[in-house]
Amino acid sequence: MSIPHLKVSGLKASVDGNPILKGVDLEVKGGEVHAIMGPNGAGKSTLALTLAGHPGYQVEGGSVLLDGKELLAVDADERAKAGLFLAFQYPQEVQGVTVANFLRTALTELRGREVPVREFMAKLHEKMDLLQMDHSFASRYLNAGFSGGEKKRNEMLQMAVLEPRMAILDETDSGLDIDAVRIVADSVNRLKGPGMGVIVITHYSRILRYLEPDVVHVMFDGRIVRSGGKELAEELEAQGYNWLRRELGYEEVAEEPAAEGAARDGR
Amino acid sequence: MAVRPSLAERTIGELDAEALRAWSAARGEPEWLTDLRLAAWNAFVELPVPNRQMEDWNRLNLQSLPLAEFPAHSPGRADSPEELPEEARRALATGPEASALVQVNGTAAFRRLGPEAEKAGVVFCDLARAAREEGEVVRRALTSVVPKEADKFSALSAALWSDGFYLRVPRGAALTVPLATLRVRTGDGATSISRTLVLLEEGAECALVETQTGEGGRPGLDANVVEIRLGPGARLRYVGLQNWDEEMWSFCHRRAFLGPASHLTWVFGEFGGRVARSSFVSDHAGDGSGSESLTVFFSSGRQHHDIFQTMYHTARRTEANMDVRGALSGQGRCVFRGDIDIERGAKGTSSFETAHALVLEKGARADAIPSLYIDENDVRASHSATTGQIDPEQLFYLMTRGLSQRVARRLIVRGFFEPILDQVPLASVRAEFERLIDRKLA
Repeated sequence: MSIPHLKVSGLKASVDGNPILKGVDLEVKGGEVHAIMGPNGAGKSTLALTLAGHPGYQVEGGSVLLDGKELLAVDADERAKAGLFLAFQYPQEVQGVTVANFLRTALTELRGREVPVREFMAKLHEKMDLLQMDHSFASRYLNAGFSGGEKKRNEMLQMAVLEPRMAILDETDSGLDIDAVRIVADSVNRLKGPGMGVIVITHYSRILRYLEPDVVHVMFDGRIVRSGGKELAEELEAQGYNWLRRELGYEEVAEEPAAEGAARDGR
Repeated sequence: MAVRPSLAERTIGELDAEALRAWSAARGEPEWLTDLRLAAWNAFVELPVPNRQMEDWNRLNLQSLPLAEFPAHSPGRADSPEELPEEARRALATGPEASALVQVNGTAAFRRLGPEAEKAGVVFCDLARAAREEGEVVRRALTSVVPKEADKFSALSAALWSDGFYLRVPRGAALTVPLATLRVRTGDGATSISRTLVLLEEGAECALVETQTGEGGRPGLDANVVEIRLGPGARLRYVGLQNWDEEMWSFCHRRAFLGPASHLTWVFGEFGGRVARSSFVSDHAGDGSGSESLTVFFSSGRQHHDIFQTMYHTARRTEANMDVRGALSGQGRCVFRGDIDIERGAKGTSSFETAHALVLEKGARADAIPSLYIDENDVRASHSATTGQIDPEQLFYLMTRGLSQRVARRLIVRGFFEPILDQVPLASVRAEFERLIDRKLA
């Protein structure tokens, strides 16, 4: 199978008429882990949701090609079928639908054919073992009453079972929860490989201590303004975003340090 | 040879007391029954068609109901399940050991009595036969739970039921195999007027599943009354699965009299009908009696469901729980009314109701009208009702996993019904409810 390839060019999007993404360029290939960082309001979550096809975000221009297929022309389910996956920052609860039933339905839809129960359960248990999850998890209702950590684990399980070609992890706020950070980072480390590209979107740099990114991008005011190696994340952690604001000619603001998550480690 | 008088030749509007008397006599009915029919007919003639000025009926518009034009009786026949429409056969798919009574249109078709029921001395036959064979028991019970003048349609049922259903489970008999009744409306049948009488003697236990299905083709009328009497310590699981065609005007009134320490589980599936009024009353008359009710509805197209449930408490230490869940699509409409009525002296009563409706499309509408009437201090009672829609964020979440909008909606709706389906005591009934929900979503 070919190496996955995502190419985002000049992506512009707005919410209720307010432009949020002002021309995002990004290229990610299978086997790579990219981190997108940026201060609050930079448009990070908007980028994740726009890529996944949220109907509340209006695309104003640009293109998103996954393996040469234009995703902007199709709905969220078709994007998933093309191989895109979004791990949500705040996953929805669905009462009355078990994790197993949901994932089997999803896999059936992705493959376009019924997945036999035995085959499915074998796969589900294999992935649960890989992620060190208790099998009883499968019979719980989807995210209903789950703790923050359990929700993250469930997102990672879905990623493991559905085997996307390109996974976006929206971890914008998860610097606040050390368990969630570790779950996501551990899972990505176990699941990554040449068949999947990973984009981790985060405000805080801490997750990047558990997860070695190949490329770090800094997003600011709806654009990616810097790209570099992991030393870029270290710089942001040490200095915050104000040096960037100065360089880019924006007004400095009271700092929300990129390292804030780390500062809260001692809670 | 004299031609046996038939009601099928007349419409309800053309019928009179003389014709009814002749018909009853020709059927060889006991005199008390003929008199009961005539008294009920008088009540029917005198009672108004329920209208919006009547508090219990004020959400139902019956102005276009052509009541007088329906035939007073629709003949029909079938000698075995193979002769029934496919949809109806499902209700009898419980195997040959199960007991079943079948009516086609308004006419008794065939009967099966399973070995367990036969051995236990259960009487399970059409009501007309029971009126001949154990007339005294039937005479005392018939219309003792739902009075013939309760409303116009109950009066019509008391006057014009032709064959009906009768179940008597003798003292101490505990059945494990459910009993089934089935009413089928075929394409050429218009009227299905019926009546069910259920008597569980002291300590008796059983499950009864009553199903209605229809093929449609022209407007139909269903007037039905179910009367249940539970003796001390008796336990009944009653299922009413209403799956009429969408041209049926259905009026069903059920009431149960609960003796001391008896227990009743009601399970209702309201899926069919054009206009379907379904009311039931649990009359907790015996100390320590209890009931629970599970109601599942799905109103689609232009259907109008009017569900009216009452928990009536007069004795001490009685318990009731009402749980309603329904979905609405198209221009479907459902009015759900749940009354908890606790009389003075009903000390130690616990009575609760919850209702949840999921509105799937803009044109559909659900109204929940819970009421508490409490005339006693030493009670626990509460009600809650919610009406919601599918959360678009939930839909998006599922779609990002590859589910099409249609499949995602189906999953959410199934999940919505799951907590109530999970409590349905019979697996076959649960499976049928799931099938009918899925069909509505297709």
